[in-house]
This record gives sequence, C-alpha cells and structure tokens, in this order.
Amino acid sequence: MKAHNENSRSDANLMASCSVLIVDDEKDFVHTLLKRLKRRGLECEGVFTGEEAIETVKSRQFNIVLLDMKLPGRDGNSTLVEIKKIQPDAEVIILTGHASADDGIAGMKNGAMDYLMKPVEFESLLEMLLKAVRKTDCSHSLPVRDKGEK
Amino acid sequence: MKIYTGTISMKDLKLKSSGTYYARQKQLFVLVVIIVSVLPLLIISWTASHYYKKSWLEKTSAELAGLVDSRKEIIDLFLDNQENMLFSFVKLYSVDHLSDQKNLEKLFLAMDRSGVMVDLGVIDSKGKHLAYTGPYQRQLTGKNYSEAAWFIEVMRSGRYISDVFTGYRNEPHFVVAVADPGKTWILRATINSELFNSLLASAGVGPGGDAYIINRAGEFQTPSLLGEKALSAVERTQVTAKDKALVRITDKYIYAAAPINNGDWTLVLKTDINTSLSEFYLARRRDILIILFASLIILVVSTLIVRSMVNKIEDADKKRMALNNRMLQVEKMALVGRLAASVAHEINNPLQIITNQAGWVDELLEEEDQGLLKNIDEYRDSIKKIRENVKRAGVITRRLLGFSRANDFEKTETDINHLIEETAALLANEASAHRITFRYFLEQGLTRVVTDASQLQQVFLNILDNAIDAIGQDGTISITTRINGNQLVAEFKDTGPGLSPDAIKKLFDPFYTTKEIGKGTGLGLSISFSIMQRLGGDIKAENGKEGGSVFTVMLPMQ
Repeated sequence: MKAHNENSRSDANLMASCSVLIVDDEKDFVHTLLKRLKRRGLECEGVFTGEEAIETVKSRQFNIVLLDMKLPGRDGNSTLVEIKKIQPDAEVIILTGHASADDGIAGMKNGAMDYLMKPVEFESLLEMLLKAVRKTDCSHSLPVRDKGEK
Repeated sequence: MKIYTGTISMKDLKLKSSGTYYARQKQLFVLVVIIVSVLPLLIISWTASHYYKKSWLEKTSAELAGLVDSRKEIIDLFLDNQENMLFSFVKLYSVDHLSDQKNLEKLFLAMDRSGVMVDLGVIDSKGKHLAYTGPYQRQLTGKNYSEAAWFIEVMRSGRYISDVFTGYRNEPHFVVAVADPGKTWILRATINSELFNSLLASAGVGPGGDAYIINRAGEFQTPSLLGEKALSAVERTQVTAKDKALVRITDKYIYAAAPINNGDWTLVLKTDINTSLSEFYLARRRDILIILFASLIILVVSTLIVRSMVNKIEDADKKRMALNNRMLQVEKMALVGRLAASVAHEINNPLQIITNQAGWVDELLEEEDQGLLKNIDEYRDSIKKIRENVKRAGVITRRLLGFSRANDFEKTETDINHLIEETAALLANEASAHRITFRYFLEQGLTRVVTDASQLQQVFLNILDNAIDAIGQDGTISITTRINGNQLVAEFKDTGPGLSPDAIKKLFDPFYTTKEIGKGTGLGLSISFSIMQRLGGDIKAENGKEGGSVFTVMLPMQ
C-alpha cells in the first residue's frame, strides 16, 4: 500500500483529497449518497448511465469510481472496461444488485478493485472507500488522458 | 408457487386412491382369465356330454325298436304256427278219430318234438273233455269247460288264443284252441309260456331293463325280468301300442312296444337309461372333477400371475409418479432460480435506497437539538429496525440466488466422511449447548468423490441445522455413510419429532418453513435440493422407522 508510510495522516484527510464518481441509475440512492460522502469531505460527483460516466471520466480525473453493474443502455461491465482504458489508475468498486458474487468477480477480472453487494450498509461502503483511498495516491493529481494517449 | 403445490397434492391424491384401482384391475384380469379359459372348458364338457347322451338315446331307441320288431315277428309267427297246426289237424282228422285217447296220444307224440306244446285235448261242443294227452291227465279228465271264457270265444269265432292263466293246473300257461268249420268240436293245446320268457329274457335290454308281454288289461303275460308284480298306471300309458310299434323316451326309461297276437297282447321292451348310462355318468363325473381341478389350477395360477403382474405395474407406476414428482420439483426449482435472479435485483435496489435513506436520517438526527426532539430515542430505534430488516431482506435475496447459480462448480476430489465431520464440527458448539450428540457410522475406505465440496457442505449444514432445531433439547443425530451401487449415500437420522405428512410434501418447496417467523427463511432445503440436482445427485426426506426424520443425500461416484 502506498499509504503505509503516511500513517500519520488521518483517514479523513486522506479522503478529503480524493475524488469519487458514483455511477448508478437509482437517482435517490445517488443523491443521498453524494450528500453523505460530501459531508465526510470527499469530492464526489454522480451520474446515472454508463455513457455519462465515460463522458465524465474523459473530462475529469477521479481516484475512485463506484459503479453499479446493471445500468440502462451501456452495462456496468463495458463501462468499467472503458473507464479503465481512460483512467487505468482509478480504483473501481463494483456495486451489484444481483445478490451474487458472479457480477463482482466478473468486474474484478476486468480490473475492478473489489465489489459490494446491495443492499450495503453505509459503514461498509465507507470502509471499502477507505480501502480504495489507501490504495490510491490521492495527493497526486493525475492528468486526464485522452483515448488515444495510451 | 401455489400452482405447483396444488399440482403435487393432486398427484398424491392419485397415489392414495391407486390402491383400490389396482385391486380392481386384479379382479378384472382374473375374471377375464377365468372367462376365457374356464368357460370354454365347461361349454365343451357340457356339449360333449349332452350330445353323447342324445346320440346314445337315439341309437338305443333305434336298437330297441329293431329288437321289438324282431321279437314281435317271432312271437306272431310262433302263435300263427301253433294255430295253423291245430287248424290243419282239425281239418285232417275227424272228432271220432281224435276222441280216441290212443290216436290223440299218437298225434301229440308225432308233433311235440319241440316241447313247446304241453298237452292236447279234444272237447265237444258242450264243453266236455273228450280226450286229453299231457302231464295233467288226472286233474283234467272229465272236466267241463262249457262255462270257460275261452270255450265260449272259440265256439263263437272258431279260434282263440287265451291270455296266460293259471287255470286248474296252477301253473301259468296259455291256450290255443280251434274249432272245426262246423264248430262241432274243439282241438285245444296248452303252450308252454317258458318259450316267451326265454325269448324275452334274451332280448338284451341292458341292466335295469325289462321285457314282458301284457294283455289288453295290462296284466303281465310273462314275468317281468325285474320281478314286478303289476304294471304301474304310468308305465301302462307309456306302452299302449294300439296297432303299430312305438318308441317312447321318458326321463328314466326308453320303451319300445309292439302289438302282438292280433293286438290282444303288447310286447314291451324297456331300457333303464340311468343304469345303462351309469358308466357314462361315472366318466362324466370324472370329467367334471378333472375340469374343476383344471379350473382351480387355472384360477390359482392366473391369480398369482395377475397379482405379480399388477404389482409390477403398480410399482412401475409408483416409481414413474415419484419420478414425475421429482421432475416437477426440479422444474419448479429451475423456475424459482430464474425468478429469483430477476427479482433479487429489483428488490435489492429499493433495499439499498431504504437503508441509505434511513442512515441519512440517522445522520441528520445527530445534528438536531437533542433537547427539542422528545422522541429522539424512538426515531433512533425505528431507524435501527429499518436497517436491520433491510439486512434480513438482503439475506433472503442473496439466498434466493442460490437457486440460480450457474453450473460453475469448483469440483475437487472430496472425502465425504471428512467433509461431514468438518461440517458437524461447525455446529458442535450449538449442538452441545442443546445437549445433542453426533454419532458417526461412516464407512471407511470410501473413495473420494469429485464434487463441489463447499456446495455439498452447504447441503450438510442445512440438514444438520434443521436436525438440531427439530430435536430442540437432548437428542442424537446419527450420520451414516455407505456405498449403494454407484452411489455414495449419506444418511442423517435425528431423534426429533419427525415430519408431518404436509412437511414431507412441501419440505423442498421454497419458503416452506416450520420455524418461527424470522428464524428460518424456508430456503435452506429447497436450495439444498437444487444443489443436489446440479451435482447430479439427489436428496430425500422421510420419517425413520423408530421415529425422527431421516434425510438421505445421494451422490454419483462417477
């Protein structure tokens, strides 16, 4: 873990420097979650489709993406693949309503960091985010890459 | 799900009523076998016996008719001969010549060669015995016949053949008498009726048969071969032959009768049907016995065969029906799986929102002025319960998914005995808290089975968990493993109260539970069922012979 030598920094501080993109078609969930995360100092944004998510990561750098697997239009998996192409360093956490690990495991094969099964307690979600925060180095602002830049 | 439960109970109903159905089939088959096998036998036997009797009666009647004809001819010829002979003497000799005792004796000696004629006498027109030759000379000499019926008849018609009578001689005989054309004298001969007797005795009327001659009054002219003293009225009506021969068949006898002696007498031959047919009846009784015996054998054999056949059919039907029920259960599970997969997602998203909103409210409550919120504790408690129940619902949707998990098993070589012990160990604390002991009867040296150990463990865990719940307090769970054919069998027997008939039917249905609300999801066994189906094995539940329930898990050994 990159954060190991920075133990002195509190989790809150760590989180404060991180940006999170929430991708879920359940608007009520996204809105409330945004409010709750922002209160904890996270910089976050929410979108409701895979297409919107891809557009957003093209224009902005995110450290963490919280991605629902079942989305209208482009599905979670192909969105994940696309996001990873654009921002390979972004840590993706899969959210799946399918109540089985299958979706999550499929996502991890495509580069996701981990998965959570709905319904998930906010505390568990925070813990997972913290895990991602520790993994990624939020202090470095990463440049946005264009598609062809690989 | 209700639709499926309904279908199953209908099948069960069919199975229940099948007992009487198969019993009826057995009766029907046995009846058909009897009809097609025994009935023809009886018909053949009856017709054979009937036609044999009929043809025997016809043949015997014809024989008897022939016999009576031939005897009639002989007797008539004999009587004619006697009459003609006397008539020729009357013409040939004068009364004076034959009145001489010596001449009469000479004539009697000359003609009585056959011994038929017993005596010979000459009587004048007044009835006075002029001369007599024969064995009764002493008794008859000087007798006067003027009052005798025969004498009157001869004097009237010129000829006479008497009935058989005892007369003065105290011995049965009959008289043939002729008068000369001028009716001035009579030549009279006594004929030995023994000739008729022997003629009739040799008629061959069979055992119990009779042959006799009767006069117009129905009196015996020859003794009955059976020793009858008088003719019965019934028999007399049967044998009245006025002017030609006749044959009559009654229930007991065949009568052949013919008029003889110009209709004065009737010759009767009688055959006893029953006595003559006694051998036939004996044979028929033997046939009937044989047929009865054969019928009995047919009955017994057909009953046994039919019973065994119908039992086999019943078994096959039951197996088929059980298989159908299994198939139904499998289909049901597949449907539940598909349904579960689509439902889970639709439920989980709202659940996520509910728990998130509740958490958000909880968070905001923290910031409120605690003093102003008099029901703050109630709010907190309510929020807590919302979140707990969302968790509970989440567990159910997750378990539901157990039905639809794709066939991506992680199959490894598994030691079933070890797996069972390991699973039981997981529940050891809970079991000992309820004073429940595990007893193992594990067959040693079981080959390892390639299967998904974790899924199988889930099945064992469900069964053991249920067993502990069923026992409650103080009891034993016996676990047996063995090999049965190419299957590995694990049996879990508990000392609980056993399963109700309703439970046995619905045990593997999703959401069927006997536990308190909130304690069991009713999914464990139905998921176990689909796991076993997917592993190529099976699971079944029944009540143990000594009480409690027995769960049997079967796994293919490959």
